[in-house]
Amino acid sequence: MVKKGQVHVSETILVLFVVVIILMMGVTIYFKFSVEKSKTLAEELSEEQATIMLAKAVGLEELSCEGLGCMDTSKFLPFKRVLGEDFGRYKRMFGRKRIVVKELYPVDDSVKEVECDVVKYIQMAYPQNCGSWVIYDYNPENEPAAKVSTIVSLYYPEFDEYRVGRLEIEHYGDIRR
Amino acid sequence: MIKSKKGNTDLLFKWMFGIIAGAIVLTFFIRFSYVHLSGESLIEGNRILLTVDNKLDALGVREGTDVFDLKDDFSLGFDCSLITSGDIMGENFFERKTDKIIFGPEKINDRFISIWTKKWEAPYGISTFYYLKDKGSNILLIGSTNSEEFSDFTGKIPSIMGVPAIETTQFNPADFTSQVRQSNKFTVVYFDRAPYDWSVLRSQYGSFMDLEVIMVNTADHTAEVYDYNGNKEEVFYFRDEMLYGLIFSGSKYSCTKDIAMERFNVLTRIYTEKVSRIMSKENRQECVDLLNEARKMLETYQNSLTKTELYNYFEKIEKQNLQLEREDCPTVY
Repeated sequence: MVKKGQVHVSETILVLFVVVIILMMGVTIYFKFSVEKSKTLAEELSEEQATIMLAKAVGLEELSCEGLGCMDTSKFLPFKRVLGEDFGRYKRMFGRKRIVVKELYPVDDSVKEVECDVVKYIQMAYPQNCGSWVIYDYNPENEPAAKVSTIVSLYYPEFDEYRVGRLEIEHYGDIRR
Repeated sequence: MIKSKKGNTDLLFKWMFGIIAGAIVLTFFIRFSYVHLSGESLIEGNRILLTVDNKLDALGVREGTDVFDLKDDFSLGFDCSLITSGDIMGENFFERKTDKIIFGPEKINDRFISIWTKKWEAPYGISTFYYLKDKGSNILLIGSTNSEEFSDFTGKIPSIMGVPAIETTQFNPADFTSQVRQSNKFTVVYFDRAPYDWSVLRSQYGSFMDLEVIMVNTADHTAEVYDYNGNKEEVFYFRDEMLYGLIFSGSKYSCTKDIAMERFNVLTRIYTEKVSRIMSKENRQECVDLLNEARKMLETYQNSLTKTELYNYFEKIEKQNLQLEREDCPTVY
């Protein structure tokens, strides 16, 4: 036989237990929301940073024409070489991003996505044989990307020729360097 | 007897359950509060640094001036390739690596920061220099106002930076005592002639702030820097932009200058390779010859060991570029 008093104690313990469980669930949900909020903030900051980076990259001495507001394509390959030798320096500058320059006009559709490298450069057909340069790429955790882009003027000093291009920056919701 | 023992066991079990469950719940809440608060503080601390970094990036796109309003008094530090907030020993200390070349006082404890950006060209663009100053760091330039060089140099400093220039013969340390005592850092910069050395100024102003003295030798492009302890360091500068950097950073100049020179090396390597590649695409022999000369000069320039060499090759590259332009060939920059 269970006494009335014992039933009361058991009920109290049960109620307390349920209240504590509900409280813990509430706190956990709040915590998850808080983490989500932080992730959203990081994504917003990352986008803001990438947008500023667009303007910065166009004027960056390593890639730009001297005081003409355009990008000097003859610097792209030398820059990639320097990047390979001293990646840490540019990781500090760009962080986790992918920077690509694409030629928009005049370029054949067949070569639009063909990457310009040293082999393509030394061919007689250059610059008609390729249409894009991957300037920088660092995404160690294979995160999904968001993209910002701007139209740029591309200068080919070898031919004293200007073409239309697009600078694209993919960012990964991350502000770490 | 048995009943009584059973009652004791039940009670003991309830207490044990209560204590263990209570401890688990308490640990959960304490851990939650700790993670939540430290997370918030981490986000806020990094957000300030990111805001400053982004603002500098945005301002650095072109030359100009601005006053940053941080909306509150912050302790910001600019230590070579790091931007920091808070005190290094404190809980709220955060740091962020930066690629920017920032010349300024080691610590800024103010709501407002005056910023001036200027392109450093040697002769092609190398980088944008950032000069920073708060109202607690005061700088005084002393030189011959009759000298065109000194007037030109001081005249280019934007008024927003608040750097006065006075004639050497009119400099009386006593006139600046009250201003010095309101400063965290006071830098006296002499051009070519120093009527009062560091120890004389120190005895005049006392040790309420960090007193630094810089003696610039414009003919040699060198300077002697006396830090707040009176220790002397000899440094050189390459172009006026770097001399402005020396003035704004004082004894912290060397580290930032080294970063600037590293960048100079990187850019010179890029230009050397650019010229080599352009040469391979060029058909006109006279252009190939001129480009080849420029390439060789760039290689030598990159390996310059002395400031005299740097200035000499600088001029030669400028001339070669002009020659290439005149001959309608592709240019170096």
